[in-house]
Formats: sequence, C-alpha cells, structure tokens
Amino acid sequence: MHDVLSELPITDESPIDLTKSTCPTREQRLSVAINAYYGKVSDLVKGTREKTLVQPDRCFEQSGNCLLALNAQRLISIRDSVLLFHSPIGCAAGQHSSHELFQHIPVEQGRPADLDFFHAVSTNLTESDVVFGGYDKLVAALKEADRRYSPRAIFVVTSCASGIIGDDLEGAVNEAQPHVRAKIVPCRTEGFRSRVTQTGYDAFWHGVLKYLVRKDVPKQKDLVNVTNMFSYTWMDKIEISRLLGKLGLRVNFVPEFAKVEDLENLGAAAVTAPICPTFADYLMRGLDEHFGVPYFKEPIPFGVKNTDEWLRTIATYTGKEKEVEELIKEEHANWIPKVDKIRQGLEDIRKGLVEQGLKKENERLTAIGAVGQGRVIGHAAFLEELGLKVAAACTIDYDSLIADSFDSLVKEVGDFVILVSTFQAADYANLFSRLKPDLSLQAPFKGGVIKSAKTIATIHWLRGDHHPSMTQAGYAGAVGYGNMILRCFQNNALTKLLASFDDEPYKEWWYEADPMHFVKGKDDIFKADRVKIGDPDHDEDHGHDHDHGDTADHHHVHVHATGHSHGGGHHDHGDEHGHSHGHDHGHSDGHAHSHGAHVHRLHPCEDSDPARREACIKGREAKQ
Amino acid sequence: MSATEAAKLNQLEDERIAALDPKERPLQETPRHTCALGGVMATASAVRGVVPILHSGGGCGWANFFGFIGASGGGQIGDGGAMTTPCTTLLEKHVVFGGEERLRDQIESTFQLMKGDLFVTVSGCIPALIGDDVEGIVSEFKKPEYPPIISVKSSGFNGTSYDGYEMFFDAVIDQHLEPRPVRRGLVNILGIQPCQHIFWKGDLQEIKYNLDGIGLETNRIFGGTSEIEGLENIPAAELNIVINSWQGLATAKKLEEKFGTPYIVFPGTPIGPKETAGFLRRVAERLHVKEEVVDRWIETRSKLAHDDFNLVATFLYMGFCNVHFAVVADSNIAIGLVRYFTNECGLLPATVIVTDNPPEEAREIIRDRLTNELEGLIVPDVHFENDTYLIHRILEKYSFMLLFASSMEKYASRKYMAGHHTVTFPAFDRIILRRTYAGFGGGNVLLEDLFSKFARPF
Repeated sequence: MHDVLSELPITDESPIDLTKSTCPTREQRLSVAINAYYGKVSDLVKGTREKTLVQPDRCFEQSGNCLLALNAQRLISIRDSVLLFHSPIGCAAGQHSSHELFQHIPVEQGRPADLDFFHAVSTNLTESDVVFGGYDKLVAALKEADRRYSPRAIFVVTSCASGIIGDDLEGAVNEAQPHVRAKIVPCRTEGFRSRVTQTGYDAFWHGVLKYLVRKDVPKQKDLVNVTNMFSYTWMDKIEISRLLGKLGLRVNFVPEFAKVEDLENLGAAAVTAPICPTFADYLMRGLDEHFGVPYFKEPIPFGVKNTDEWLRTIATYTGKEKEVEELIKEEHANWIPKVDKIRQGLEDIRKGLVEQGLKKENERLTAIGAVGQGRVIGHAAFLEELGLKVAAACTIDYDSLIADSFDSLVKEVGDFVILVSTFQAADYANLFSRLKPDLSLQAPFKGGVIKSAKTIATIHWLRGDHHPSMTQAGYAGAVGYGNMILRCFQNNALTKLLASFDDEPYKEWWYEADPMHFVKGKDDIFKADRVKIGDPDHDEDHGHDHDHGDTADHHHVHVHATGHSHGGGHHDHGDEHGHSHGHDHGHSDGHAHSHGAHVHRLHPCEDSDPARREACIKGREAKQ
Repeated sequence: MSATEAAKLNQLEDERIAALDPKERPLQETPRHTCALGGVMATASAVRGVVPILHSGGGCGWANFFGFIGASGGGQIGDGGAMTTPCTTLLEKHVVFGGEERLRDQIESTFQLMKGDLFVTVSGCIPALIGDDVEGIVSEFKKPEYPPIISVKSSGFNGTSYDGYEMFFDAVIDQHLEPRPVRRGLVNILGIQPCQHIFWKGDLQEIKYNLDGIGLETNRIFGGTSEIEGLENIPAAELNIVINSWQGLATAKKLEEKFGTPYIVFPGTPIGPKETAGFLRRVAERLHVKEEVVDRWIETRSKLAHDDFNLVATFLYMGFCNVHFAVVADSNIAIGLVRYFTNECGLLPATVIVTDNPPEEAREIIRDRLTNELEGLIVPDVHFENDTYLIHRILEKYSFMLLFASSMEKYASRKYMAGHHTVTFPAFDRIILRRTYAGFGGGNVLLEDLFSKFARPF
C-alpha cells in the first residue's frame, strides 16, 4: 500500500515570492499543515498523500506558543542587532534574559571576549496606542533603537495587538529607514496568523531574504550555512565546527550565534545544511531560488549514522567526497566504541528487566520523544541505533514538508504512534500514561507530564550549557546524548519521587481517555479507535508494523504494572461518540484505581499483585 | 560634528526620553515587569486550587512562563501553573468572528478535565480589541452545577504585571468573596506579589512567623497548602497590612469599602532587627497587642539574629569596610536594603534606582524611606527608572563597590567593577524557593549570600 502511495507526489511547493511583504502561512503554502493529530505515522503520511488530513478545532487547549514568542527566542541571539517588539510589554517579557545569554560561557570555549549584550525592546503599546494607532510610535522606536544601540540591523516583530489595530508595518519601516543606519527587517509574526508556529520562522526568513542577504558577496566554496541551532547547545556549535573544520570547511551558523553580517553572507555559501529541515525550509528554498545556494533537507546530524550521511551530503556540495570518508573513518575509530558501550549498557539494563520477569526475552526498551517534527527524523533513527524501540513521537506541528522523510523513517525503523499537538501538556500526560514507555524524552516546559512518565530524559539542554556531556549533535553528541539516556535508566529516583506526589492537575478519567477527546468532530476525522492505537495492552493492529525480528512489539509491559488490570471496560468510553464535549464525566469516578500509583511505580516488589511481587522477588534472588 | 558634541547630543536625548512617562516613550528596554495578563496569571496560579484560563493568543502563557514565572528565580508555580494553564489560543477566525464561542468551549472542557476550586478567566489583548463579552460568557457558568468561576479583564496593553496583582484581587472581591464574621487578631498581608517580588514566598512566610509570634494570626493566601480557604477568608481579617508603598493599596481600600476592614501601610520589606521590630510595634499598636508580648518576641529574636551577625560582620570590616553600594530594584526591596545596609551595616548608599514605576503619590513616601532616618552622613540619590538602557546611563555617573540589582545587571557590573547580587526581578542567576531577607535574621542571610560570593578566600 505504501509503495503505491509514495509515488503520489506532494506537489505543493510554491516559489518564494520576495516582492510580497511577508510569507504565506504554512496553511496557505502547503497542502497539509496541522497541529492536532493522533495515529500511526504511516497513516499520517498516507493522509498527506491523499490530501485527506484536516485541521480540527479543539475545545480544550493549554498554553502553547505563537509565531512571535518562539521566533523571538531565536532572533534575540543575533549579535549586533536589536529585536524590536511592536507589541504590549508582555510579548517582550520572554527576553528578560537578554543581557545574560551566553555571557557565562568561558572565552576559552569560544565565547567572543567582546560579546555584547543582546537588546530586546518593545514599543510598549498602551491603551491610547491601540485607540489612536501605533504607527508613529513604531517609527519613533526604530529611530530610537538606532540611536541607542547603533545596531547593524533591527528586527521588528509584530504582535496580535499591533495586527488587530492594523498598523502599517511596511509603511513605518519605509518611513524610518532613511533616518536610521541599521537595516530594518520587518517580520509579520502576529500570534493569531497561524496555528503552525513555524510560520513565524518563515516570516523571519522572508525578512532576511528580502532585506539582508546580499547578492554582491562572491561565492565561497568552503562556506556551509548551518541553520537553527536554538535547542542545541554551545557544545553542538563546537562539535559541528570541529567536524566541518576537519574537512577544511567554515560554518555560517544562523540565526543563533550569528552576526548580522553572517546573515548578509548567506548567499555566498556552497550549501545550506539543516539542523531542523522544516524550521529552515523557507530560508533554504529562498536561498536556492534567489541566490543559487543549494540545500538538502535530510538527514540531520543526530546519531552516528545520520551524522555520517549529513557530512557526506555536505561533502558532495563542497567537493570533499574523498576527505569525508577519511574523516568518518577517523571519527568512527574514536566514537563508535563509546557508542557501543552505551548500547551495551542499555542492553544490560534490558536484560536485567528480562531476568526480573519484567520484560519478555526479545522485548526492547521503548521510548517516546516529544520533539519538533524535524527532529523526529534524527531522534527516531538514533534511538534505533541504541537498540531502543520508538513507541511514539510527539511533534509541535506537522506539515507536508516532512511527509517524505517520515515515509522513509517508517521504512527504516518501523511504524510508530505520532501525537501532533503544540505544547499541549494534557495530551502528553495522556499519551505517556497510556503508552507507558520505558523512556520519555521531554522538554521541561510541558508542565505536568513528569507525573505520568517513568524514566525521563530531556530533549533540550539549555543553549548556554557548555559541558561535553551536553552535546547532542554529531559524534560527540551521539555519545553525550546516548550517555544521558543510559544515565536515566541508572537511577530514576527523581521521577519516582515526583510521581508519588498527589498533585496531578487533571482528573482521573483523562489518563485513560481518548487522546483526541476534546477535538471537535473527532470521529469523522479520525476513523481509528484512538484509545487502542499504540497502547501496549490494546493495540491489535499489526498491519503497519515492519519486521524487525522483534516479536514483542506489542508486549504487555509488566514493568509498569501495578495490580491494576486494564480492560474490563475501562476503555469503553461509549459516551464519547457523536459529540465532542459537554457530557458528564461522572463515570470516571467509577475507575477503581489510583492513577498516581498505577502509572509510575517502577518497583514491582511493592506490587499489590502477589504473582508479580513473587516474580520480582525471584528475579532479584536469581540475580544475586 | 565632533565626538564630544555627538555625545552631548546623545546625553540630551537620553535626558529628554527619561523625562517622559514610560507610556509616552517610543520604546522600552526590558522594563522588569510584564503585562497585566502575566501578572494575573502568576498571581492566580500562586493560590493553590485556583486555575487561570487564558483567553488570549497561544503564546501569552509561554512568554510569561519564560519571562515572568521562570524569571523570578524558579520554574513552574503550582500544579495548574505555567504551561498546563488552559488557553483559548485565539486565531484569525476568532479575530474576525469573535472568540466567545471558543471561550465557552474552553470553560466547559476545562471544568471537565482540570481539578480546581476556583477558575479565573484571564483575558488578553485579542478579546479586548475585538470586544468579546467575556463577563457575559463567564456568567453563564456561574451556576451551582459548575465550580466557581470569575473573570478578569487583563489585556496586555491595559496595564503591567503590577496592575495584574490588583486586577486579580478586584475580581476575587467583586465576584467571589462573601462577608465573614471578623476574627480577632486575624490579619492579611497585601503588597507582596508572587513572582514580581522574587522572595514572595519566603517573605510572606517570615512575616507570618513574626506576626503569629506576637499572638496574631496571619491569613495565608499565597504559597500555602490551604487551597482557597485563605483567599475566601480575606473578609474575616481584623486588619489588612499593606507591605508596599503603593501596590496592594487599592485592594486594601476596596476591602475597607466592602467589608469594613481597616488597613495600615508599611512601605518596604523589613530587613534586619531594627526594621522588623519597628514593623511589629506598628502592627501591635494598631491591634492592641500587649506590649510585653511584643517586647519579649523582639528581644529573643533580635538576640538570636545578633548572635549570627557577630560572625558574619567580620567580613563587613575585612572586605567591605564602609563601602558605597548602589541599588537597582523595586521599591519594596530597595527600601529594605538601603535601611538595613545603612542603619545596621554601616555601608554608604550611593544611588538607588527604583524600578517599579510607582505612581506620583507614592514617590514621596519611597523617597522619604530611602533618605530619612538613616545612620551616617550619606544620603543616596534616588531615581525612578525602569528602562534598562537608561538605568545604565544613571549608574555610569556613580562609583560603588556593590551593586544590588536584577540579574540583568550581573554582567554589566563588570563595567562598574562592582560585586553584583541579584535581589529583584528578573532573577535568572539564582533559584529562590522560600529564601527571604525579611525578618530579624533576614539581613544575616543576605550577608551570608553576598559574602559567599565575594569575601573569600582570605
């Protein structure tokens, strides 16, 4: 079925039109761009090819993100620029750390000794501004920012408030530009513009392509653009520079760690290489179409295999095909033994669980990663390298740009569950609780999820972190990140303790409910039974699974068990069909279990089920 | 134009802009507060059992989580706080057709899913600009079959996080509180705002400890485990104590109007034995607490504090003998620090930059507390400024060896060759749980923190 479908091309790639004042939204530009989905990846890709996916409305949402907020996190670190929020003061609050970013990194580790503070300023729109318009204030702000900081560029980002009152951004920029030395780069990032927050990045890249990138800079064959390092760290910057440096290449990191001049020089590079292919999609396409800089979308340098391929791909654009093979050989000699050791460590942990009767003989450790759609490609393949099975991935949004990559990924690592949901903490809590992965890779800003996961690893080091163990990218990252995963299994006391606190924000029924419960028209949109998809205790749909010689994909994971038996009608949410909300949840009180106890407990010897307790004790005795 | 002339022009322009009201300035650099929505969200989340529901764009919660809640020395406050906060996540279609139906769905689903004793809709810029009838929608849910719910109009352009604190109380008083019989000796503390005052939890706890110590009973509203009982018990107080020269005052006045509760104002966090004793005597006098009870408490607590002070004071001579210091902080902590360092530690206050943009009528009180009844011969210059760029233009004019400010000044302090310590919002370089500099021993804790950084080795 797949093979026929994969011949269906995704034909929604429209050219980048720099005469326009801003980019189209992802919804306008692509055939599929959504932020609510639950199902198998294979079905997601199928739906993309068949153009049957729709964006549903949710009745319940939690604090997520917007075009402005996410974008600002990236733009703030462009050196010798000013980030101007045309907004009320709260939109700019996220940049209260602007005078501290990167300042603590030792000069010995590459922080420029003269690294100045980053400046985030706001037009501080007030009541009278929204009544009388903020145009004049914006013009004045552009002049004032230029006077105060003498930056090389001013990035203007717009807000919901400035968008609704209808301030003429282009007009203000055109009026102010002759009076300021800095190049003004307007970015239309009103939060309400799009559900897909990546539209914000497109809006920024549109401004960069239109106003900053220079045509008159000669091509530099040894220059490689590397995009979007935000959630990677200073150590990743060092690792990538090291690897490409050994090939005799120079790296132009944008927008994080960049100077304005680096953005101006984007058109001079030999190739644009992504860290996250969809975040930088608009830029890469624009550089290709308007400045003749080729690009590739995958792989991304996460894990050994993908790093190999990432380097090889860069080499083909820079004439380093021979050198790259030597580099890979040299690097493998150093790093592969370390990765093998991690894999062995994880295997020992798995065997320990098998000995204790907590896992079946061929049953793998399972993991769920909550990452951006682009990073799924890297994460899933890397987890596979380490011998873990990907149970599910959670992405912030999903669009057709990534569909082909997902298709290949399914062929490589097998099918898995995907939850598309923009920072929806309740969705994650539900997913982790029902799927009970051995390992959860999470971001710290997805509140409450810690309560329903068992073993937790982070997916984001903070960008200023500068210890080798905090590397994620390249070979050093495979070891740094792999070691963190191993460490997580070596002591989960923290997770257990946090989970034991009786302070979940959600009511009991949610932890076993349909993850799309609050999605309007869910039964028309999602044909499959969501509760059963991916649930190790319930999933009977083997249709999409690929053969890995792993017979225990749909295991009953006793390590999670706690004497609470699934089944018995717990998933019979008969009341959920037909209408999406507004019904009584009184039935949930009938669930005869305590969530706090049943999901998290790892120590089966404490089990109230005598059989399991005995199995555990026997396993422990055998081990001794 | 020569460089000197250009610099002079620049300086004149700085002065012109500094003289403008912040609202009239063309721009503001990181003014150490967020919007009203952020203020209400954090204040509401700090009461256990209260769940805010944002009626706003999708990023409002994130910006305030990173830049407000996360910037106040910690991470998530409360189980329902930060990124679990329900939010309508308004889109273009809502801007065009209205967000009322979306809010209705959100309230209903939140009731089904989230635990909570009191729900608060917190509206942002979008509903205010498009004219959603939030009160009308919320009133549909004020029924016995639903948990209690109130609404706050807190659009970001309509005020700061400081205002958000009072907006929250306004809504609670108008829409939720019922009169209760007055309990003798029961007091509320107002004016210390969660997150905006980075030591809020510890300050409130320490003040409660002392007031309870002289036989009163302090009602715990924030940061406790009493669910919303503390909030609902506000009308039972015999006295409201506003520990701030301006913030919380409107709330106290409203409570007086509605429930007849009198109030007193004590501007500035009491730090060290002298100020704390003064604070307690002031309250005791107002509530007719027996003098000997207060005296005994002050005596025992002061003795203990002085015992520790003896040890830490060594470093005041060795490392910081009568040095100049500068403060860039909200008025509450600025007053507390200046009075403590000047009146008990013998330090010399060079300048104080007050960053909470207090209303005109409060500035005189603040100026008075920062310059009157001080030991020594040195009186600090007092400035009111919250724009980060302009703050540095002021600091450049002074010479000082210690700088007490937000973490935004941490790296800039190298320029002034001053030791820096974070005492106010934002506080990205430290974690604050129940740490407090308030109370009899609070000054010792402050010196302990300070000298751990700067006074060793020797």
